[in-house]
Amino acid sequence: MIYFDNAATTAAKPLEVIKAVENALRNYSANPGRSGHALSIKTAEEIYRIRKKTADFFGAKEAENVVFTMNCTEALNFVIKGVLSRGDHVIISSLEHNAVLRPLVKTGVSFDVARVDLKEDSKTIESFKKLFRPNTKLVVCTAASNVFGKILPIRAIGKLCRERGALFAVDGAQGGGVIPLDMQKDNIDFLCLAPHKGFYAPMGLGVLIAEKYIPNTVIEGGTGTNSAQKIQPLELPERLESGTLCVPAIFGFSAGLDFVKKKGIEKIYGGEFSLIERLYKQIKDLPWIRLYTPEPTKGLYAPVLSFNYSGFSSEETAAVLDKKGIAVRAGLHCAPLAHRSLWTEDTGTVRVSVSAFNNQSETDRLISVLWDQKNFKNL
Amino acid sequence: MTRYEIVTGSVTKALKGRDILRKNGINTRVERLAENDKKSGCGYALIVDGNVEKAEILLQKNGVRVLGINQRA
Repeated sequence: MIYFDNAATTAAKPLEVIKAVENALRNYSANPGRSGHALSIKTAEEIYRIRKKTADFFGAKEAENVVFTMNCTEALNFVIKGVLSRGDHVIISSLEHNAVLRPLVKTGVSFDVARVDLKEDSKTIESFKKLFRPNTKLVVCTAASNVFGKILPIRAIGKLCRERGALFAVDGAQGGGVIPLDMQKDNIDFLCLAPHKGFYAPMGLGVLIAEKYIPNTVIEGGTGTNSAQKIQPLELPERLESGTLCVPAIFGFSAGLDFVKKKGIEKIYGGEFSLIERLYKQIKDLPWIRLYTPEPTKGLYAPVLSFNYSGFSSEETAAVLDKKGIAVRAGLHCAPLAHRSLWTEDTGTVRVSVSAFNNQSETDRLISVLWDQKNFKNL
Repeated sequence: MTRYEIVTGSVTKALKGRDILRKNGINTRVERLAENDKKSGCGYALIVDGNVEKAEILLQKNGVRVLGINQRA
């Protein structure tokens, strides 16, 4: 099978990740931060080492600011529900995922949507700038759209937040491991990550890097310390880590971080981008293909491409490709806001997303299937 | 030499404190509290032999809150 659904999760994992998970299951299967025996302490030491490594990678101030969650959605919920209260105002981008939109709607606070321009970042920045109010508490935006691949001008938006005294949260689900993200340089207060995507970790793990205090907790429970107290600890990471951590996934994430560092984030992005660029160029003139974004520019687009095949729904097109052994994702990709902004809310799109394990012969196979209309005749 | 346990807020803070102290030449290790504190319950501590005042200053200076210092038998 040719797997082009890497924006949902990367299916091919580096051998190092698989070995790290096995190592955790064989040699570190005690609960970290719960007991005093040697195996529990040894596991806790390793988890702490991974927090440090993660903090270093993303330029976080302290290792304890690295919080392990169940997934990126949970991390976003922790931030959105944790910092907002009645009377606050929020700005989000027009390309946000439901992981941002739904928790935000649930809080009941007022929010505005800043339109992302697919060609000119200056227009996107202007769009954000216009929406600030005196009570704007938080700005949340994705580092890169999970539907159209557009990379947002994070650093400039973060600077606006600093100047106006708002908190800045970034959904790094698609950007992490593919584009450089730095808490300090990019002015990020909260970074939410999906390690099972760009870091090739197992599913079931999210990361929240919190440089600012989160007043309200969403989940409370056992943290291994201060057990006699009825309230959550105030200090990170335990404040946001109730219950047992997914140690094998964290070990897998650590190996995935090493994989990305060793290969080089620029090299990974460059290789993935060239595949998407080639795909775009090869299908853009086909009358039966509809593309929604300008030709992707390096640095402005993540390796994600959306299209539709004329006369077929996105789901039908994905089914044809599946029969040909090509895995893509169709529909709304849990991001109706993004689809609304490009008028694809009713149809959805077919999304192609690549990883470091895809190659040109695979994209060429997809191109040849899309070129040959016979493949879509006998549906 | 008197042995002390420096009580920290969590295993993460204890491990951070361990790195800080070792970097500053103070030999230490992380252990579970010998006895549960009645107010706060179970937790983790840094074990040091002597030098406890210097250790405490270093920890506080580097963002590791010291919740208490107990003498160990």
